[in-house]
Parts: sequence; structure tokens; C-alpha cells
Amino acid sequence: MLRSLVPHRRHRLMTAIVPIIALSSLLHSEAVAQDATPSKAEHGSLIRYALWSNPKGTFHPTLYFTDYDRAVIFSVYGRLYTLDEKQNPVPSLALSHEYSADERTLTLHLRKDVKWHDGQPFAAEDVAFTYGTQAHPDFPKDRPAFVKYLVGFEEYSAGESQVLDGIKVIDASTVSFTFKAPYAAAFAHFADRPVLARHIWEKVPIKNWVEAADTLRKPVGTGPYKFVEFVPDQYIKLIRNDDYFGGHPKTETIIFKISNTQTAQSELINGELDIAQISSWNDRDLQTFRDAGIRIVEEAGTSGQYLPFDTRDPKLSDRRVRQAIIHAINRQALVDRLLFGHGRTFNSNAHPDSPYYPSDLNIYPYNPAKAKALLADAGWSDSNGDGVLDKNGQKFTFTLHYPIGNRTRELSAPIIQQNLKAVGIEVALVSADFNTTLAILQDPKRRYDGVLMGGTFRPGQYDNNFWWERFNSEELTRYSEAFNSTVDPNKLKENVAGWLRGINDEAIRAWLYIPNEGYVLGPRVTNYRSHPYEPFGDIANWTVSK
Amino acid sequence: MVGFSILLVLVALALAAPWIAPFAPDEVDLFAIEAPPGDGHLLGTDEIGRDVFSRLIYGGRVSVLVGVSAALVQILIGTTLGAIAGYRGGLSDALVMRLTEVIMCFPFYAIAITLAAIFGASVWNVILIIGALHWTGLARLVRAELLSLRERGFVLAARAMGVSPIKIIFNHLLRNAYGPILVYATLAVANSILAEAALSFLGLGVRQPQPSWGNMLSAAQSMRVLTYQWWLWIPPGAAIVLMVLAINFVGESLSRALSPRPGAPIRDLGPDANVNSQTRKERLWPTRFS
Amino acid sequence: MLLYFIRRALTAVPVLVGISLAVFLLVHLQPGDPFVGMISPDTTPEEKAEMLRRIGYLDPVWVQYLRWLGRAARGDLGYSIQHGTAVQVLIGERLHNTVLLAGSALALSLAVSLPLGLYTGLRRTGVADMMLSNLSFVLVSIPAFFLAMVLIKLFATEWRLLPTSGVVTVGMNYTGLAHIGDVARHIVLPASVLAITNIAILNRYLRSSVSDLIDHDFVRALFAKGLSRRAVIVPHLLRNSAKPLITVVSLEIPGLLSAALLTETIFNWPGIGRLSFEAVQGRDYPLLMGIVLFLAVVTLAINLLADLLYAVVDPRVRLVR
Repeated sequence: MLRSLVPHRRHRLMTAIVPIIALSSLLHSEAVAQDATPSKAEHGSLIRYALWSNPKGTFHPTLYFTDYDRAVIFSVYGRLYTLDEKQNPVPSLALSHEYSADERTLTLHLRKDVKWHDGQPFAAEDVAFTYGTQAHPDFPKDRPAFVKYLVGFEEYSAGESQVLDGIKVIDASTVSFTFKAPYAAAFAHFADRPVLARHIWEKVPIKNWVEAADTLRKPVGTGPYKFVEFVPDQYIKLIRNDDYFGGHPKTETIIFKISNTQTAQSELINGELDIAQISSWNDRDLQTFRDAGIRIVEEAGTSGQYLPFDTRDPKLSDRRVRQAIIHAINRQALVDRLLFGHGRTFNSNAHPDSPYYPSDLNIYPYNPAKAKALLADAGWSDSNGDGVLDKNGQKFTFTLHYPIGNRTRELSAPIIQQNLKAVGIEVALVSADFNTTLAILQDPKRRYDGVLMGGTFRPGQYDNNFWWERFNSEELTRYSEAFNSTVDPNKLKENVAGWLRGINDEAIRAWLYIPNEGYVLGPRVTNYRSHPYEPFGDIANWTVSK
Repeated sequence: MVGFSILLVLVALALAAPWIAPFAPDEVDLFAIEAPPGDGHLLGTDEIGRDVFSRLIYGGRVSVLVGVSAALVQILIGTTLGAIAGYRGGLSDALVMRLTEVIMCFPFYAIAITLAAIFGASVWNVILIIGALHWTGLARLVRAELLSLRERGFVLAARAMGVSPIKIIFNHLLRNAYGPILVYATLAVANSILAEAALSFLGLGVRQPQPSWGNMLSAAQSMRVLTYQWWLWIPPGAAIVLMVLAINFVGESLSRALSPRPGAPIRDLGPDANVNSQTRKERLWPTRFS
Repeated sequence: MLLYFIRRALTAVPVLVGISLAVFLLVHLQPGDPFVGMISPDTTPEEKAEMLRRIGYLDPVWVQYLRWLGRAARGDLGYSIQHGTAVQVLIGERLHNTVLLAGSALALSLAVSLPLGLYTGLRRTGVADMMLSNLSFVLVSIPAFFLAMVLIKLFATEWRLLPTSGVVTVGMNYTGLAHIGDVARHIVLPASVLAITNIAILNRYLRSSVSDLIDHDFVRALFAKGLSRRAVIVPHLLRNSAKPLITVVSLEIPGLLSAALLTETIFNWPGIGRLSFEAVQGRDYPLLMGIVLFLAVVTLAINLLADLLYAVVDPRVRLVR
């Protein structure tokens, strides 16, 4: 499933992964060869990592909403589970889990020797507190699906009950969660939302959490790095946690430097930065990096760009018209020219690496002739020879809205405009800031033709929710009900695949492209490893030479 | 004179863009991406193969349009309110003066980008935003001129003869104050062009794919472009500088020609005994943009 | 004197009210709500309405205005939606950087334009004057962001002499002189960009101040008595320099604060200009309101102070109006 995303100012909207189902990704991060002298991790070692924007200072596992805050949170806080390269859950603060006979109760056994950065012991109460407060009546953010599945959520969140029946602390190192139905996505939630320190946060009334700047900005976690300071708009400094339960972090200091995509390249070359995400796959940029001795790591992308249609629109309610538009857009050219080949196309609401992604989807190859034929079937023809299709005296015009902020997406708009013009559709381009554009989709009463959007994949989480497209289908709902009430891998596969095929056939969106992710590593970096969805999963083992 | 000639050439290029431009400004050619100048493209192509020269002269249309229209908006608002304040005096004067003070206290960019976010980024909104935020200098100028003129004999005579205030303002007062207004308006064109470029550069003015010199520069902010692709950033930058410079020179010549005192441009009145915040601001360039 | 000041201060009250009203309405007119893009798109409209109600977003506009004004009067500008931090704290954290940048630019522009203005004012017809005057035309015609690009190209990518981002080299933990040197290296480019247009404007202003002085009757009289230009101008100029200086500085500061938005954004300078740009992009209403109000009040206060200083250095001003 895809959701909105703003590259450069990413508003993270729950990137959850169901790890029970191993998701194979085609590309894994190439681990950088271990340097012959990895022991250079003693006193004084430092890694400077570029962030494209200032974190909001919401260093709180269940409240943050930008990737920049997330970078800090995931380095400072520990999680019950992390994800391996194939997105399987790996026990971290948890040691093991077991299900009850009816599979509705999940019991976790936790590590006993873990200490918070302030020296307090970590315990099951912290876990219960972290996830229980998300269901609390005063919780100041939107509630994740996880808590809505918990037994007793309704009574507790409405304030009718003082206790949340679905979470129980059994002893200091054991906690159990009881769901209304077997809930496989629990691990995804654990991997996405680290554990809070109860002894710190219980002092702040929950309704005041978002405004508790002093506490938000001094995160105390159990993770590999301890928070030192946050200088707004400049940097965040972390220092290694010598007591880290996952082993001694190799590098002493991590600095997240607030930079921007325009200056990062020269900062890397001038040695003012060590690691940055790649913001352009332009050959010339990559060559500049290589010439300066800077290495490039490439991984599968985790976010896709797409074009939802308003399926209530009289023109677009015809499936053939939607399919024609996909055929008319040269999506491979977008990948080849805008991403310089560093990306791929996709054809349904899931990442093509998902194990349930059917191999027999209609791939809607670029084919203007086919597009014209489909449009002709739907009654659209150029009866007056002005180059624009018409039907019943109405010209085929299409307003394409797109948000600014993502350069590649902005550039794709005039290309799509030209592609559609070639089949006789007159496209008007309207750009606005991200929130204004998103508001078009968010307002169910609003009519539109198409909007360029992007979002992070949530593998394993298949959301039968098409209100952006104002679309409903009984067939798809049947599939979704089937895969939401089973944990049998075969049934899951069958129904998810059927659901994805149905979406693909309905063409409620034009699925455009998935850019690869990439990182550039300055010459000092001797060991770096990351994988899709876990950019900081291995931070404790990153090393630099002095 | 040099300024005037340059200006003439640039405006002519902009107005004749549809006939001169070798390509449509939004014509994409994915097989000629970032091509250097030559080979059919006088100034090369951009990231999606659009012809830079064509975009440059179409961008010039935007600059001319915004510059002239925003200056007209300023003249309209500034002269009207300035005339009311200067002629009526009393409460009207106080109200207009307080209003100008309110607007002058605002940080231009913060307010302009807020307005752009509210009304959306488009050429016309940019014109209205710049016009609405920059009439204050002119209003004060007109007011000051009228204050000094309205007690003159010919005005008092007209008033005694029962000539309507509007006629007095137009026929007697503004006619005698047209010099400073004209000079101010010329410079307002230059400043409006700069303001449009800055807003577009911030992504809150004229938006891609419609070309404007500001948004062309905005797209060129990368080390790659600065280092290897001069044709993407030097031409639009040079075009802005040339255009604004030419207008400023024209304004300067106008001001010299109309100045009662040779060598002393009208707006540089120089400090005198009565410099205070009411009159201070008119003395410099009308408003300044960076 | 006191009477004059009180009268002058009272005229500032309606301006202040006007500013606050305008700021509030402007920001309130923005489309979208403060949570767009911040919460999961799956959130139901009811849940969202509840969240909006909780922050007072659904109250009548005038209630929201009065609430905001009442708090603002006590120095409480509310909480930033994005940062979850008090607006005055966010401004406070960055103000010193903006002051440092604007102050350096002001110092730089005065240091260059004062001697130049004096020189060209005294030699109004010289070749140097003509060249400088043309140069200042060129300088005011260059958009700051283009100048910034040229400087970044030359000093950072071409010659690799100066950093283009931030205030300090992070991770180096310089102290003492090394720290000052580091900051100085970082400030050169943004301060130059801010200063250059000002240099041109100040130069022209000072030039005309000086040349006006030469044309004054009493100066002509002194010339007539056979005193040299320099002997006349320098003491008189010094005596009369207070007012132009007040004018210059009071005019400069608001311009610098406004222009800082662009410069700080380009150079990653952690000041309030960049903060306000991010506030617009992130639709952080309380933050934007707070910054604009703060800057407007600073401008108003500077104007007031300038008028007061005029009255101090020139008693005639008190009689005007």
C-alpha cells in the first residue's frame, strides 16, 4: 500500500511491515567491504550524517512524524523487534514470543539486563506504557491500527474503562497483548515504534505530550546511541551507549547534520559530511562523487510515485479510459530519463518485491496506439480534427495536480502532459504546495481528474481503502476480508494476489515509478550497512577511519 | 540611452517570443536532456530537454508582464490613497498613514510567501501580491507632493471656484506631481521584476512548467549545474540583471531630466531638518528587494 | 520632549493593532488545516475534527484572535504545531544567529559605504564618482539569490575556499579563537550577499547627503570665506552625521530581517528567516504568526526609536506635526 510522502520533507505516515511474511527484496544493500583496520573505533571517531531538513524535535517514538526525527529516534531508542534484510522480525529488546492456542494473545519475553540511558532498568511496564498510551483518551495523535485491534480498545479510548484489557504485564520481563482476532501486523508496529521510558513520560500528562518540548528534546532510550544535544537547524549530536545491549557501538559520536540537497554534494567532497542519501541519480552527479573517491551504495526503493484518478469523474469512471491513460504514459522513459535508470515501474498497490505480487499483472506497456484504441472503444474520437479527443461535443481535458517539493515528480508532470497530448488528451498542469495538493485527495467531496502523489510502501499491510480514488468494489472487499481474517500463508497469498490483480485491472491509479534508494559514503567511512526500511538498523557497527 | 536601447531589445524579444522562439517553451525532448548549446539549441536544453533559449524569452514575457502590471497596481493604489491623504488631510490622512505604516512594518518575504500560499502561485497573484505590498512608498510620495501643492494659489483658486475635489486632484495636483510619480513608477517596474524573480526562486511565484527567470534559476541550484552546466543558470541570471539595470538607468535619466536641480535625482532629496519616519522612506529607492 | 515621545508612541498603537489583525487574518485565511500531511490519511473525518477542536481550531475567528492577542501581549506566542515548542522559544533559539548575520552585514555595508559615500559626495563630478555610481546601479540590479549562486560557484565549488552551509563546522568542537574563526568563515558569503545591495543604496544616500550639505547656504558662506572644501565639510559633516546615520541604520535593519529569509534559506543559516520559510511550507500557523508579529514589532520599535533619537539630536523635530 502506498501513502503520501514528501521527499526532502518526508512526513512519515506509518511505514509498517508485517514481518511474519518474509519479503524478499531484489536488491540488498551492498555492504561496504570491511576495512582492514576496523578497530579504529576508539575514542574520537565521528560520523556526520546529512539530514535534508530540521527535525521537529519530536524525539518521541509514538508522536514523531518526519523521517528526520525518526533518524534520531531509531538511533537512541531500542525496539522490541527490528527487521532483517528480508524484513523478517529480529528480536531486539524482546527475546522471544509465543502465541496462545487461539493465536489471539501474543506473549513477549523481554531482556532482563537492559538499562535506560539514565541508568533506570528497562521493564515490561515500559512496553505496556508505550503501546497502552496510544489508546489513551488523551493521546494527542491519530491512533494506529495496532491499538484498534486490541481487546478493550473502545472502552479504554472512550474513557469508559480505566484499564486496557488487551495489554497485560505478567512480570517484569513478560508482557502480553490480546487482540480481537489474530493480528499478524503486531510485529510491524513493534519494529516501527520503539519503546518509551515510562519513568520519564508518566510525569507528563498525556494530553500535554506534544507540547512537552523539554522532555521531547531530551530523549532517553535504550538504543546504541545516547542523545547529547540538539542545536535547531544545525545538528544533533549522539554519543555511543557503552552499555548497549546489542554490543559496543563502534563509532563514538554520530552527528546528524542538517544540510540540504544543494550543498550536500560539496560538503561531502570537502569532507564536511560522511554519509548522505542520494538526491539525484544524474550520471554527472554520480561521476562527480566517484571522482572525489566517494562510494555509492544502491538499494531497492521503498516508495513509489503514482497518479490516482477520481473514478467518479464522468470521463474517468470508464475503466478503459483509465487503462488508456496508463498505456499512454511512457513510464519506462520516466525511469530511464528522470532517474537515469535507477528505478523501476510497478503495476499495483504493492511493491513488486512483495511475495504476493502476482507475476501475471497487466503491465500496461507504453503503447499510444493501444491507448487510442481503448479511448475509441469508450467513445472518444477526434471528430473535428483539432488534435483533441471529444465525445458528445465535450473535449477531453484533464487537470493534473501535482505538489512541489520533489524535483523528479515535478519534472514528470510536463512529460505526462506531452504523452497524453499525443493520444489526444489536453492536460492542464496545476502545481501547489504539498499540503494543498494532498487536501484535494483528502476531501471526499472534492472532484478532480488526477493528482501526482508518492508514498512509502507498507509491505504486508494491504489496505482495502480507495477513498482517494473515490472507488469501491465488492470484489476487492471480498478479497480483503479474506486476507484480513487468516494467518495461513497460502490463503494470504491467494487473496492478496487476487486483490492486487483486481486493482491492477481496475486501473484506479497510474502506477508510475519506484526510485532506488542510495547513499553516498565519504572516504573516511570504512564500514557501513543498511537495508531498505532499516537505514539505521546497523548503526552500531558503522565505522570510520580517523 | 544605453539603458533604453537594452530595455527596448529585451522587451521586443519578450513580446515577439512566439515568433522568435525556435521551440515551444514546454516542449519536452527526453532524448536531448541537458544538452550543451549548439546542435539546434542556441542555449542548450534543461533536465527534460526543453530549449533554454525559448524558455528564456518566454520567461522575459513574465518579467515584463509582472513588472509593468505590478507597477500599475502600485500606482493605482498608491496615487489614490496618497491623493486622498494629501488632499483631505485630517482623519483620512491619519488612516492612510497608519495603513502604510502597518504594511511597511511587515517583513516583505514572509508576508508575500504567506499570501502566495493562501491564493496560490500564479502570475496574476504574484502581480497582486507585489502591488498590494509596495504601494506605500508611492502613497507617501504623492501625499507629500500634494501637501506642498494644495496650499498654492492655483489650487485655492480652483477650490474657491467650486471645482470638484476629484478634478482638482487630477487636473491640478497630480499633473504638477507627475514627475516624481513617473520616476517612482519606473523604478517600481524594476523592483517588481526583482520581487517576482525572488518569489519564483523560492517556489512561491510563477511555477514550472511556465518559465520565469526566477524559477529557471531555482531549478539550477545544484553543484552540478553550477559547475558544468552554465547555460542553465547564467542566461536567466544575466537576463534579470540586464533588464533591471536597464530600467534603473532609464529611471535615472528620467529623474535627471525631470529634476528641478540638475545632478540631484528627485528621490535623493537628501537629509534636511525635517527628516522623520514620515518622510524618510521616500528618499531611497522606492522599495528594495534582494 | 516627553510629550513628543508620548504622542509619537501613541500613533504606534493603532499600527500595532493593525499589524496584529492583519497577521492573524492572513495566516488564518490559509487553506488546509494544520494537520494536513501530519497525520495518517486513514484518519476519519470525525477523529480529525476532534483533534482540531482540541487545539481550538474550530472556535469562531474573533475568539481565536482575542485569545491569541491576549497571550501575545504577555509574550506567549503559543505553540508551534510542527515543533511542539513555544514559538517564543523557537524564535529565541535562532534570533542570535539572525542578529549575528544581519549585524555582520550591517557592519560590512557601513564599513564600505561610509568612506565611499563621503568620497563620492565630495567629488560629485569625478570619474571615480561616475564609476561608483554606475557600479552601485549594477549592484542593486543583481538579485540576491543570483549573487549567492555566483558566490557559491566561485568560493565554494570552484576554489573551495569557504563553506556554504551552517554556522560552524559540525563535529569539530572548536573553542575560543578557532571557534570565532570558524563562524567567521561561515558568515562571509551570506553576509556579503546581504550587504552588497545595501552598500549600493547606502553609498547613494550618503553621497547625496554630503552633496546636499555642500549646497547649503551656510556652507556656501563658509566657502565664500575662503575655507577649503575639506575644512568645511569634515567638521560639519561629523556634526550633522548623526541623523543620516540614524536614518541609515533604522532603515537597514527591517530590510535585513526581511531579506534574511532568502539568504538564510540558501545558506542553511539557522535563523528566523529560514524558520519562517519552513513555517509557511509546513503550515505552522502559530509559528508564522509569531515570527511575522515579532519582526513587525521590531520594525515598529526601531522606527519609534529612530524618531526619538532624531528628537534628541535635533530639537526642531519635536515641533513637527
